[in-house]
Amino acid sequence: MPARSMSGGPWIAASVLAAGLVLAGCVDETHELQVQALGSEAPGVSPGPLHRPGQPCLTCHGEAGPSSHTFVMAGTVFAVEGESAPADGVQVVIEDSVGSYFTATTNQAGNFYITTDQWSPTLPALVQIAKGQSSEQMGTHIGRAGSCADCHTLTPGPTSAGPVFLARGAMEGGP
Amino acid sequence: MSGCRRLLACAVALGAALVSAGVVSSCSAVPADARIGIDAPSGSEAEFGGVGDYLVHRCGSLDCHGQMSRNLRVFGCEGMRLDPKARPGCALPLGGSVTTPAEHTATYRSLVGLEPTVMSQVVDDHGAHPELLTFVRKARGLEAHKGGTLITPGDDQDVCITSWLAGQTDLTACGAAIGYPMFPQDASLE
Repeated sequence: MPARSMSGGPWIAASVLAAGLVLAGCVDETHELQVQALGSEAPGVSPGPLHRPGQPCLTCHGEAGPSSHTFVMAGTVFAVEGESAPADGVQVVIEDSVGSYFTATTNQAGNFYITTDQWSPTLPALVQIAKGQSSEQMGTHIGRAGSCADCHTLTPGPTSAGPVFLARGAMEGGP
Repeated sequence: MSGCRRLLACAVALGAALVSAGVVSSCSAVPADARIGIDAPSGSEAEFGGVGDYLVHRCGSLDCHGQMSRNLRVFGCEGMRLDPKARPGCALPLGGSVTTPAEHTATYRSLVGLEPTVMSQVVDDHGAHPELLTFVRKARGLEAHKGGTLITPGDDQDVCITSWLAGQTDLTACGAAIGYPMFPQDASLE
């Protein structure tokens, strides 16, 4: 019985095409749109620890990427309520539901981040920020979001308490 | 034979006519403003207010059910506000305001409308089987829940919800349920 002749070319091409279709089907378009909605980098600021203050960090630094630096929690602290100046050197103390603590410190942009390699909290969690004599405790617990800006959007509203800040505006008295 | 065929044809025609008449009469019998009812537990402020306060504390944070995109939407001062001019936060000096009865009602409507037929069944059984409701199973961790297992059968949180479903809200349990989630005493930031 003669051996059957079967060229591998068409089969390989078909397999590659099928794999491509499967991968294309796995693209999370909603996530893609969320990433795109964040826009470009600010002029003169390169991607890194100082970029994109006030944005929801885990949109890109979450499990879905596109960044390879994966955070478990991250955000931005502003100096004064209603103002855009960042608060650097602020200690962000987070306690999870089993009593595990992690303290991060904000940088020049007011940003802080905790990588998945550094800590794995068991949610819910409580948060307090402090610098010198000033401190603020978040009134509610974190249920599941890793990005402060998921809830603390830059514009306050019925579903946002507004940005995270260390001190209240002068008109309302300091903390 | 032809007589039999005629008889059969008559029977078929009669049956078809009866079915048609039945369909037409059943359609015309439904009023245009008819609604499917729910046998729901009380939504009064006295019966549900404490449940609503517990739900917004435990489930209604802005990153959980304090979002309009969720099927179960919880409103209140610890999360999403109903009044577009209101802001999250319960403390008056900080610009917040306490949860309003209207927010309790909005939470109530969202909750009882999730599974109306199941809710009716649970209520008709006087809350004997609260686990028939998906939201109870999710909170108890019996079904996949992004927020994990939140309550244990018999604890204050569970009693708060199940007593309301049974028609006799245990307000003491609802008050104690606000103490959840519990954080280790020696490590608390508060």
